[in-house]
Amino acid sequence: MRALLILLEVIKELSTARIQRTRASLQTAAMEVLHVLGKIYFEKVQTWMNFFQHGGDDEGGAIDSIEQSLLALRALRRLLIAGWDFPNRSSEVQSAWGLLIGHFKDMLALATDESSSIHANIRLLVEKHLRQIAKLHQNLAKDHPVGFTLLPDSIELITAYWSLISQFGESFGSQTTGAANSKNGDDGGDQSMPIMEYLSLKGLLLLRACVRMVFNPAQTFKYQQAQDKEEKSRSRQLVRQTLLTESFAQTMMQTLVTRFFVFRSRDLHDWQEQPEEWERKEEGEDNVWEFSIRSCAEKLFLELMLNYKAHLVQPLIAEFANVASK
Amino acid sequence: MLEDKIDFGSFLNGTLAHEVQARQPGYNIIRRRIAIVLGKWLLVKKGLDRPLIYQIFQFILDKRDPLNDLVVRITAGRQLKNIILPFEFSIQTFRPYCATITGHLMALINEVELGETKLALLNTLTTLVQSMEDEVSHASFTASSTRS
Repeated sequence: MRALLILLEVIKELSTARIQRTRASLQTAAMEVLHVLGKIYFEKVQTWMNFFQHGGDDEGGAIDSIEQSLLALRALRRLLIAGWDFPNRSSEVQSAWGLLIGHFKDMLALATDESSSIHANIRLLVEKHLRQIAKLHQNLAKDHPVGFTLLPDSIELITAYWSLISQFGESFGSQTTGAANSKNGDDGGDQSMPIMEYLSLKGLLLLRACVRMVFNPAQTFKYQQAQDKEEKSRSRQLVRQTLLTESFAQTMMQTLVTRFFVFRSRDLHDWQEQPEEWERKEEGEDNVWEFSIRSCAEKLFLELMLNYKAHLVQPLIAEFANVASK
Repeated sequence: MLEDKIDFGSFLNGTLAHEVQARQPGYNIIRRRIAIVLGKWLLVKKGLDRPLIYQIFQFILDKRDPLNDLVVRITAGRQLKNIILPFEFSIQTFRPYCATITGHLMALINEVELGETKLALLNTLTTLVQSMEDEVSHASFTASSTRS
């Protein structure tokens, strides 16, 4: 455990270093570290997954395993994001990616299974795994949008996130507690936000990253090599044609406006009572809006509106008015 | 491309311009959204009806209208920066709105307390000054001297 913890801290340091040389040293070791970490992570997950799905004798061992796999996962996440300039080009990363997507689905099933008898603490730990993987997805899409889309099953992944978002949307407006939209919505939101809300949030951010990648080419343009250009153009085409079609864009816009544009009472309250702070959170420089579903929905909607034919604008304004008068 | 212009143009002239003047409660929410949409649009769409957009911003920056609460006005103040950037900007087109908008903006800067927000609004003011070159100083002195 301790070794894992140390490894995590080292990776954290190296991946957030400002000096290019430091980060480069992480990249040279990345492959090997991935092997080690991947193995630990995989084995531990197998252990506890087996136990909680099928039962067994060694509950203590299963609990240890889940704590260890979480630690390994935290390190893995940072490694995958910072360890490769072109993550999609590495077959090891591709396998790890595919594996994690599989786990994501399994863990989600486990965490959301109402009839399951697993202890609340365990469920929480499973959720923490989910949060890590979701963070990986979102960060990778943000830092390596081309790489992200060209990794296996990414498009299906995003589609899966959308189903999650749609499902979550059904109950969103009716929630009055709004833990995530609270005044301290930044770090506090991370763990206190219910898992479905958290995953929906990450999904929205993912979608936004994709839309921006397709329609705002300039910002992702770091390298000029032929292969980079080819990948870039291929990924844009892929996303535009298989994911971000006109009809999907309209589906998204409809859902966003009707489900997620709702201002919860907390929002309205803060707007009135603390207008400057509220506005700053929405439009200010430090990206606090990334922790609010409504803000993310608005930003995604804006990107869609800018880039797709405005078929829905009339009904949308009517929708705004409906929402505003509630 | 042409279809693009028609879509956004008529949406702006028809729907948006109409909605921004609506007076029902809750329309402050719409005014805020309109300011944001316009701010983003001008960055990427060509050929929009700028005088109309300036008029809209002048309208929602006015404190005398109670629907223009602080959030609406700060949002407008922030987005104003995008609509007066040098790209496709013509001093002549903006001139009729300059004095009033500058006056509203400066009053707003004085009104807000949060440092970050003040700074963001000052950025807008800076852009305004840059885009209007010599004309702003005169306009702003006139506007602030008539303010009570």
